[in-house]
Amino acid sequence: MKLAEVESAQLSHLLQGEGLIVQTGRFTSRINSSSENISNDILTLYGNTDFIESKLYDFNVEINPGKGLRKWLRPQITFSFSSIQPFTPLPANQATPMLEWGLNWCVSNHYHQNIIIHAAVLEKNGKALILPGQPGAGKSTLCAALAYSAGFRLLSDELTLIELDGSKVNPNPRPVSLKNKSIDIIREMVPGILCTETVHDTQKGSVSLFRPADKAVENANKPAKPGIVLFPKFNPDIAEYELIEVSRPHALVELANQSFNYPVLCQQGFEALSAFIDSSQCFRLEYNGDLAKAIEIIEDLMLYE
Amino acid sequence: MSNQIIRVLRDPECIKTFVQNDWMILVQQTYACYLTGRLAYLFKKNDLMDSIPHKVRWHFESATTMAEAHKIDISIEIKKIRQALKMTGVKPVFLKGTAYLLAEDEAGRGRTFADVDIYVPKERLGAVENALSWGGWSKEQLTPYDESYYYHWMHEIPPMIHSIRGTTLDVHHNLMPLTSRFNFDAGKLNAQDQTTPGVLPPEDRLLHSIVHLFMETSYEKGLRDLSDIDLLIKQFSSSDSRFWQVLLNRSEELGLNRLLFYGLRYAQIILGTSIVDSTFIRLKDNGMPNRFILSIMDKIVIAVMSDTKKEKSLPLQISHFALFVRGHWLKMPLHTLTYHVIHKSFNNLRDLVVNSDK
Repeated sequence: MKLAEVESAQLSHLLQGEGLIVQTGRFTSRINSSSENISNDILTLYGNTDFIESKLYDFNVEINPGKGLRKWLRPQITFSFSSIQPFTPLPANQATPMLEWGLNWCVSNHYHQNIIIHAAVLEKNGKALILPGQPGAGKSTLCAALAYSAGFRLLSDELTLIELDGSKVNPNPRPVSLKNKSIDIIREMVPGILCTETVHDTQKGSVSLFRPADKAVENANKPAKPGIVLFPKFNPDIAEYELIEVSRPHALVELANQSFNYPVLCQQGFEALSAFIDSSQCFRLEYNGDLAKAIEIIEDLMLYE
Repeated sequence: MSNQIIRVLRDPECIKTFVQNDWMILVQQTYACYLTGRLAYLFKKNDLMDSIPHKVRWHFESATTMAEAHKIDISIEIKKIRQALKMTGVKPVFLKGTAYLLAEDEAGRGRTFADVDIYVPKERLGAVENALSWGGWSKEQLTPYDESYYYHWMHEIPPMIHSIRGTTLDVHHNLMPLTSRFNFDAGKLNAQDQTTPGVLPPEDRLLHSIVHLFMETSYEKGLRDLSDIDLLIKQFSSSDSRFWQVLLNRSEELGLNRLLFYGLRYAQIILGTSIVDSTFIRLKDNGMPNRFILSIMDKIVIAVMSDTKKEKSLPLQISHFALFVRGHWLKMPLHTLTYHVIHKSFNNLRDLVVNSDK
């Protein structure tokens, strides 16, 4: 049974009571919340995941209104993981983005079985396409366009999990988080796509979350082989696009810099990245926002052997 | 909710009888109490990793990986601190978590912590601060009030942060606040450990750990600190038959019997630490509080240490608050404390009101 088929009264009951266990990517999370609307957002984002009846889960999280004076004065929402609150509270309307950030934090801070890179990752023909990028580089937009309109399978839009022997990327398919202008771009590109209402004025600007495709969710246990590492850079001032090959040592250093747990894994992390990069090809793509063109270039790259 | 974490700390073997739900409670509690790494160490030591269900095991494996990386980071930090202080000739004494790692105490295994703590003699403080700023450490910007709070009342200077590595260093010039109710001569602590240079000898390491916990105002990591005390006691008392004698003499000399009594009592009650009877007999006349105080302390300390969900039920909140007030009470005379509390509450309220415009 899928989560969407569960009666909404039962979902709210679980969320407010013993906790709703949700398949959040490759991990399962027990979510508790008395916050309004979060039940609807969870249905929108996780409706196509299996309803989990097992009582074993990976992360225990709560998203609840702040206490004390805060209840009345500027209501806030807090995220807690196993009773620990790693973040300062946020305005109450940011509950769903906060839940998603919190779940990412749970993985990047605790899961050291893989090396974790801050990068979007997709799959085509069994091969991984990794898109690292500083905020504003356009990795999420590009990732959403590839996932929703070019037949790529989404592995993750935020956390790339590489096996420690460097042989494969493990999927962690979760909602895609889009910001500011890219929200409307993707909504127009894919009519009828399921996403949450846009929340304005977050730390990252306006945010809306998009449900991953069924294909991504159903294949959550199917890893991808090393393929292409592509560093995107959005540059509205260039005429067309620029594609440059990046040397492997250079790419390795960039990935290590964007890794959450490279300092924890130390030598193991270095070895994992080296092995992975050795079987990948690395490029830098500067593009002017023409997504159709960018997709075309990337599809060509993916045909390389 | 049953208290699985305390059960496991007392007897790791008990996980062999765990059902699914016990595991979920345990994992939640280990994170909440900052004890995931410690449990991972205890499971490994007792050859119990295979008794953990596959779906749960990764938490403990990850915690081990983190603790190992942490150990490397801290050993680099120790080296850098020693290098930086070389020009002053001051040999710092490493305290708390860093000391456990350096001395290879069991209490250091699987334990991660945010700050490195060192003790230096007060008269060398200026030189030490200078040398550390040459080495790249600098103090955070503090309000003038906080600045004077540290220098006039506290036993440490404001935390120093390394500009490149981002690590935090707490420099102590005493082991207790200057305003503290316990009369304490830090000069007596200069004796260094015989086997490991740079840490206090075992009895002082344990006393410092106890003093620290039982002068605390926040018990968020209380159970972890009590578990440190449990492991230190087990280790020291099994390796030296004269340990209890030495400990008691030292505690008397430093005037710390009351705190030692609490440390030993709650380690025994909560974690089942075995403590030789003669110790309590000796502390009974000199250290043990009166019946009334003892029954209150029993109630609140046991409640707070067993609070594995940081659940804010009213009785628990009262217990946490009581220990908070007690901690401050021990640190400062009443007029200083009143002044401090009023100042802090006013600032917090002002922040709340001013920031609500944003």
